[in-house]
Parts: sequence; structure tokens; C-alpha cells
Amino acid sequence: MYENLLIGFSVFANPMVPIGLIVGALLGYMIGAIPGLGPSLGIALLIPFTYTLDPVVSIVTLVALYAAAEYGGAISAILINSPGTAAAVATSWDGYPLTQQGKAGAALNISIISSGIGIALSTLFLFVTAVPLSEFALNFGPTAYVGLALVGLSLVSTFSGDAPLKGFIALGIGLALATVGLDTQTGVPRFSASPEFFDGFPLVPVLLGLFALSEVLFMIEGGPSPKTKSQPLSGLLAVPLKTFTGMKLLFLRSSIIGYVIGVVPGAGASIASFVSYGVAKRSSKTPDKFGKGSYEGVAASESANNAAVSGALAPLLALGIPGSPTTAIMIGALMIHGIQPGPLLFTTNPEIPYTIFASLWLGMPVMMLIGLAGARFWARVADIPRPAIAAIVTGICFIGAYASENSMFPVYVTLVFGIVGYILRKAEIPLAPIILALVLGDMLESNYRRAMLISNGDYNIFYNSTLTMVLLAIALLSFTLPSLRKAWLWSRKSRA
Amino acid sequence: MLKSSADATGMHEETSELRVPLVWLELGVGLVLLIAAAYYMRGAFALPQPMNPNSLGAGSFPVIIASGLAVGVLTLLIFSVVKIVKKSKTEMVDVRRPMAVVAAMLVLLGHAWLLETLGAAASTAAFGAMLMIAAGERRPIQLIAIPLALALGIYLVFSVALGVPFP
Repeated sequence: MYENLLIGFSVFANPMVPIGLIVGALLGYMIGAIPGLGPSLGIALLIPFTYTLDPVVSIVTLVALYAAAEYGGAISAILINSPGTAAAVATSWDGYPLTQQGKAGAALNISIISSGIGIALSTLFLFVTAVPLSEFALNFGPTAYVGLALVGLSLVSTFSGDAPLKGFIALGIGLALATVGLDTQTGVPRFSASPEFFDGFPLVPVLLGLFALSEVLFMIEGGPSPKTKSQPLSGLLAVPLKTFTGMKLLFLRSSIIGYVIGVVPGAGASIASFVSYGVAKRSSKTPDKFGKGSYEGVAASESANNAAVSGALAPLLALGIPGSPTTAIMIGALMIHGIQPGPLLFTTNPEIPYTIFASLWLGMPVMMLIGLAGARFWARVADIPRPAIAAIVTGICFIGAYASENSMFPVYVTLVFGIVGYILRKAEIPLAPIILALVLGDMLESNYRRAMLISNGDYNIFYNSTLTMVLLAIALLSFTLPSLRKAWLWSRKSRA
Repeated sequence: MLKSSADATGMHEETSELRVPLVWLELGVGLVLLIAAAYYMRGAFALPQPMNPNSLGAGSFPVIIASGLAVGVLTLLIFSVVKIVKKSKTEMVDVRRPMAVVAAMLVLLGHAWLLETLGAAASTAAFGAMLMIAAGERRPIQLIAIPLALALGIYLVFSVALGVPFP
């Protein structure tokens, strides 16, 4: 394990790897600082740029973007009360009041340092837990994989807010899309109107269409963005060390909360920051300051939402199931480079997970430096006019889609999924379950068919394994609990 | 309701808005999905049976998915119809600047259609400018400089730095 970690650090001797880290961090800050764009869209847009890169360089760049986008989300939350990402909402509760008090620089400093501490501690937890988890998962048979895929798909209930039925429909759409192309077991073409479909729906153009192009149409709806009022950043480097040493316990507690919540599939960085903020307020000696400009509030939210990044990577690396919409896209990015996340990753491509651990640690000081040194610049990024962002995103989408196969077919796929994604979002049908199902569909189908072949079509094979039963029970609970809760609330409301 | 104005910076602010009851949108999307699910199920049943009687054929899994999807969509349609019949209070879906959204869709369509004919750089610059106009940008310098910089940036990054061949 430790030898492999050394391999992870040693890849940084290749100058392209640290360059990838810095580029990813810069882009992540930029994406995070622009309200409305987030890590999911950022990763989808960055994938086309990684086609010709070495897989290790690509992964480091993507992970750096993911982490930095969570760092950067706090900037607009603090300066203009418009969180760049959902996970930075809790940061704005104290960050913006601090800006109004003329302490914007101090608030940014605390948010950046807290983010770094959250990432560093949670990566340690990731390193300690992901490796044993992947070793345990090596014993999984086809039925356990079916259970695991269903647990992954059951995230749909958490991605779907208060509309589990719509999440279920989105899941069906994604699974149906995953079956298009040549059947991997019989070679029969399925739902393929032309030979272009034989390889299935190309993942990158689908991602670009659903996440990026549909967002462009929302930007068009929003019209030109008003210019924000620039804030003075005095006191950026004037936060005394004792402010941080006084929050030692808060950092540890928030990082643990963030990591654990990040591991739970579907929970994600925003829930982590809310929970951590609430716990910090209850444990604080000055709870009345929360919401009015508390340093502890900013630190609790930021260390937790960044710790959730490492947490979300744990199920992705160890089990091959995504813990958040962003990691669902990340799985797609890994697959494009021929890397299949999951327990075998640690034995077949150990340099990938261990480089991710190393890049999260080595990236921490880089991101803190970029954040602090470029604070004034990041503060201006939110002023980029929305029409310009729409044109840039569209240009990258179409050229990126074309570059994925050097043909026009992916461009048309991007266009169709962009418009379909816009309509589905308008009908409040979530898009994340579609990607989740598209990524996990093959794992579910191939293992289900393998299990059926082994058992000669006897479904008892699923009941003979305790592990499978546990996984199926978790999936069932995860699928049904939100619907049952909604039905219960509805019946209580109608009785009242 | 259609209002239009330009602010001091030259940004064009069209404030028209289209309001559609969510339930009608759900009904429309649900009907389309139901037709798609039926078409998908018909395709799944048409797939060949496996040679090995103990294995599952190429169509077995899609049949399960189609059934689940059809049940989900039918449930959504039933809920929608009940809400419409009962005249229940429903959420409204706002489409702000609908004409601009339709124009943007046409620009995207044109961009995809002419990408190969015009070439990546020219189509990115031309349709980028049109998209910015649809988004409300009216400042001539921005409309010229940003699409040109975008086309140049994309050419330098994709073609020169990454070696990706352009259409």
C-alpha cells in the first residue's frame, strides 16, 4: 500500500503531471467562481481536452478541477452572496455578512485555508478506507455486483429531490440508453438505426449535451447578467495564526463529517456543509455570531464541503459506483481513458488511485496559493458576461464532441441531448440519474445475465449470498424510503 | 407580455416570459416518453432469442427496463390527468425570454449542421456571435472580440497543443 503511494508521488516527476494539476486548479477556481457553473459542468467541459493526454495526467487535471471548483464556489458566495456551487450556500451565510463588515479578505482567507485543511484530512481518511474496501470488494461475485449496481442506482432517490417518480423515470431513460449498441454477450445490434450506434451512445457527447448545452439554454433565458459591485479585499493575508489554531477541533470534526457524508452515495458536498455548519453552531462558544459573520461558520462549511470531495471518491475508486453526479461524470472520464473504476483498479492500474491520493495532498498547497494569490482575479471572474460564457461553453461542447470521434455523429448527439436535457429540466426530471444509469447500466446487465447463466435461470442465486441480500436490502430501502416519506408527509398534510 | 430595453452598458434586456402549468408539461413529456417506451419494448421483443436455453437473450434486460419505464411514465401521466381533472393547484414553469431560447436553439442547430461545411474556427466565431446576440449582448466590440478570441483559443488548444484534427 505504502509502496504504491510512493508510485503515486513519483509520477509527479513527469512535468506534465504538475502542469495538469495547476491547469486543473486554475480552471476549477474559475468554474467554481462563476455562479451557475459547477464541478459537474466543469469536468464535462474539460474531458474533451484530455483525449490525447496520458491517462494519469488527465485524471490529475480532472481531480484538481473537481477539488478547486469546490474551493472556488466560496468566492462568489462570500463576495456577492451568490454561491458558485450548491455546496457553498452555507458559506455565504457568514461569508457575505463578513464582506458587508469590510472583512472580505479575511473571510476568503479562512475559506481557502479551511478548504485545504478539509481536503488534506479527508484524503488521509480516503487512503485509509478505500484500499481495504477495494480489497474486500475483490471477493464480489456477479450477484454482489448486481446488488452493488442497484445500490448505486438507488442514489436516484437522493438525486431526485422531492420527486422520486421523476428520478425513477430518468433512471429508466438512462438504462434504456445504456442498452443501445452491440450486445456485449451475443454481438447482436440493439436499437441501432445505423452503424454509428453499434458502440452505444458516446458518453462524452451525452454528458456535454445534458450538462453543458442545456445549461447554455438556461443562460440564454437568464439574459445578460448585471455587473456585480466589486468589493475591497483588505485583510486577505492579515488573519492571525491563532484564529486557525483555535479552530483545530472544528477542522477535524468538519472534515470527518464531510468525508463520511461524501462517502454516502448521493448525499454530497452541500449536505455535508449544512450538517457541519449546524454541528459547529451547536458546539460553538459564540453561536449567536453564526449568520452574522462568524469565522467558524465559514470554516465549518468549507472544510466539510471540500472533505466531501475525497469522500465521494471512495465509492468511485473502491467499488466503481459514483457517490455524486460529479463522480458519475468522473467515471465516464476514466472509462474514456480505458480505466474501469472498481476493486480491480487497485491491482490493474494502481498508479491511478494512488496518484489521485498524491494529487489531492500535493494539490492542497498549490490550490491555497492559487486561491490566495489570485483572490482579486477570482473575484472578477463572476463578472464575465453571461452571453460570453454561453458562447464559450457551446464552442467547447461542439468541438469537444467532434474531437471525441473525429466525426459529426457525436456533435448531433450533443445537440439532441442538449435540447432534450433542457426540456427534461423544465419538466423537473433530473438529469443526474440518466448519467448514473448510463454509467452503471452495463455493469448491472452483464452481471445479472451472468448470474442467471450460472444458476440456470434460478433467482434463488440472489438469496444464497448474505452480502448480496444486504446490498439488495440497502438498495430497496434507498429506493423506497424517500417515496414512503413523501407519502407519509402527504397523508399527514391531508389529514391536518 | 413583451418588454424590451437596453441598459447603459449596451446589454439588451428582453423581459418577455412564457408561463406553462407544470402538469401540462409533465403530460406532454410523459406522452412522448410513453411512445418511446412502447417503441423500445417492441424493439426489445424483436431481438433474437439466445442459442443457449439457459442464458438470457439480448432482449431480456431491455424488456425489464421498458416495463419499468412504462409503469413509471404511466403513473406520472395518471397523476397529471388527475391533477388536471381535479383542477388542483399546480406549479408554473417559467420560460423567460422564450423567443431568445428558440433563436438560440436554431443557432445551435445551424452551428452543428454547418460545422463541417464552414470549418471549426469560422463556425465557432460566427455562431458564437449569433448566440451572444440571442443571449442579449449588443456591444459591438464584445460581439466581435469574444467569438474571434474563442475561435483562436479553440484552434490553439485543440489543434496546435493537443493535435486534434479539426473539421
